[in-house]
Amino acid sequence: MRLRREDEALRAVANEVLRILEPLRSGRSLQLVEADVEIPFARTVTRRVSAGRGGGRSEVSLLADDIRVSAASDIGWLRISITENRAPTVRVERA
Amino acid sequence: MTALSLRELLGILVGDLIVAEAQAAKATTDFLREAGFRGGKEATDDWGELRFVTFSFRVQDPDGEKVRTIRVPLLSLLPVPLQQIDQAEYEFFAKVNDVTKLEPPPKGRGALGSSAYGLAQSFTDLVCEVAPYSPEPAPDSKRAVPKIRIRLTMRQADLPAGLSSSLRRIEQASGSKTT
Repeated sequence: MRLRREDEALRAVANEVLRILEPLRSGRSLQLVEADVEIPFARTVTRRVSAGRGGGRSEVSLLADDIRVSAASDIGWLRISITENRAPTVRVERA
Repeated sequence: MTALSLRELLGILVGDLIVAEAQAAKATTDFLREAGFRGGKEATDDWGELRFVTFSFRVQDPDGEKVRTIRVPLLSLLPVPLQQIDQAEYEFFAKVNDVTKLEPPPKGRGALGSSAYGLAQSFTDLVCEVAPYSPEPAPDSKRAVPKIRIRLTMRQADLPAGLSSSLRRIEQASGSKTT
């Protein structure tokens, strides 16, 4: 499955990762103190004939196979960081 | 290698730490029982009698030489192996094979252990495969190694208030009787 609309897709992925990690911060037995997650993604623009010049839809793929065949300039990184007593931070780094 | 959802992958790591803690606690209990008690019944809560060691020595009293005997619980002489996880650090890499969308199961239908168990809303999950570890990837190797890097630090949580109060009650319930 490819994720459509780049920003929305990356936000969704970051939210899902945080939905996994956030409950661990208040664990009853062991608790998460710090976490760093780096997720590579590949960006592609799908050209549509009906959209005319410059038209197209941006897609994001997290699949290793898609990233491997992408141009270096189309690869980005989603970095999610959790530190003790602080709100998590999410950064998107593009090539 | 088997592909797992990121949720399961992280869950396994946390679960294993808890299992490790439980095994360490059991090993300590086994040690206390075997070294510190005797005559207990196997597989019961009756640990039998406290094991004592005795030793004697001669002392000089105003009345003459006497033998004094000391009796101490063996456990008070031994270092008790109390091992506990203080901090656990994980760093691993995973390769995303697929991105799946999980829908919450119909009310009351989600089986324990199923991938959608406990979901209240739809969830986009990354289906991953653990990838070879590369401690310091070179900046230009990003394309060659398209994998997620995950670094986690876990620590012992504080004792929850409810458990702390329960332990206090248990302590109050313990005592001794003369037979």
